[in-house]
Amino acid sequence: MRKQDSSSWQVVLLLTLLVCSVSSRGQGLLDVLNESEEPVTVPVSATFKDTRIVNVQSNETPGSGVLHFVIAHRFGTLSSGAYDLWGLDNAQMRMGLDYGLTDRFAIGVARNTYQKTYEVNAKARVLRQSTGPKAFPFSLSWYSVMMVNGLKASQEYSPYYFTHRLSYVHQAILTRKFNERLSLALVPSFVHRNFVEATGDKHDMFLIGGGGRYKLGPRFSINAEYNHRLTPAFALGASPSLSIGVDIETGGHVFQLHMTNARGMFERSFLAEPAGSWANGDIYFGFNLSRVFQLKTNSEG
Amino acid sequence: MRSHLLSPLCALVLLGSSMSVMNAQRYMGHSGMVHFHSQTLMEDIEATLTDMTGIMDAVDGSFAFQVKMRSFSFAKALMQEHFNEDYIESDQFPKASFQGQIVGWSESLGDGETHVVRAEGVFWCHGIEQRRTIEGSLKKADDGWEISCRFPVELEEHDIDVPGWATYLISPTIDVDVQIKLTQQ
Repeated sequence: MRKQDSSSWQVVLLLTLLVCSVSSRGQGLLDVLNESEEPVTVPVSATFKDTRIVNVQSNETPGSGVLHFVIAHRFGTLSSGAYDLWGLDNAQMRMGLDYGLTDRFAIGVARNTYQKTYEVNAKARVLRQSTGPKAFPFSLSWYSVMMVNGLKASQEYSPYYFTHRLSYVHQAILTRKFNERLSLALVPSFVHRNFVEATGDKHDMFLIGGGGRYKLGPRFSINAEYNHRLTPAFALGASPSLSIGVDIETGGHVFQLHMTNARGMFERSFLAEPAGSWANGDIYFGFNLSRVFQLKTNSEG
Repeated sequence: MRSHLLSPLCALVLLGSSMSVMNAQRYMGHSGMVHFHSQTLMEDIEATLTDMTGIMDAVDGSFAFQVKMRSFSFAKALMQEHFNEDYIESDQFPKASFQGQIVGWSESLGDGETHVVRAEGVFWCHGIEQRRTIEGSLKKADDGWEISCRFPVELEEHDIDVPGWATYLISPTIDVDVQIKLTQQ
């Protein structure tokens, strides 16, 4: 009985081996190649088309040696009516230049017509979502910006020092590209204002923002974002900022067209200051137009 | 009982040894170079990778070559992003390959001279298969085979969509250069 057992085992083993060797003979050379290749970890690219979703930062930074030039406009409110051509007569502008020092770190400057505000900013990709053997589920970028109010000092606020002009925003930008179409972002922000206009208003403010994009075509997506104040705002009844828009990409340009209730295009303004009410038609049409210039080419081209 | 067991065992040993002979005729490489070039009046686009894998069986001249699309490196970061995201769709179609047979394979091709040969097979790119005959050169060196070829790829044949405004920037025909050294396994 035992003898028979062991011999039948051997036969099974032999047959298995035989089948295995035959199948490996019939295997295509392409399969042999695939087996010989070691899987590699690849960072997920193009979570968003541009460095911003609408106003809120995305995880993206300009690549190494890339100068990213943005001209953005927000027109007046739609509710201003035909006399102002529904806001088109009143444009606020932001011009910004960002430069990628490496693929993971960028610095930038900008000028806004709103309060003649200057910006100096830096953005780093701390963690990158990736696939492969060392897969990682999300990306984390960090954005810090210092804003300088450039308006002439008003007598009202005397003494008014240079430091009064300064405000700061720091953001952690968590993003995940769920699939080719859908990317979502969660953006906690901290705002510090050295100077607040009204007594009792807060110097420090925490917010949580969310946003995303859904691609409808290879070069077209719908974007939306929302910022919610965790620290209550001073001005009661002020709406948090809500924006929706589209991204249209053509070669080196990205056109972002949107409707938003936040008129300012720098962080302090659209995070900490009261936005208009969507219900009352305090909606601004606007666009961000970006163009990239590769100043330094990748050496391993 | 014993003799029953012995005969398959013999067969297995024979099969195994013949397999190892066959494997001994296999040549492989993991650092092949692929360079492609698109030229229009407005824009030159080129990219290179150096991790193409290849395998050839020197018994019958059958072969396979494969590249990972994300390995292509461009001078401009945005070109690379557009290549992967908008044109080649690397997440969906991560690899391209050419598998087939060298026409008129004979042992005399291994005489150490450079021979111009034709290779017939299936070229697979962007999820679309095309039967192709590609001319290339083949040379047997001491430690393996040196293979190079140059061939055009028609974007339309592989369903790679170029929007109207980009037709000034991207040629409908891309020139591809390939070089690889395969060493014995």
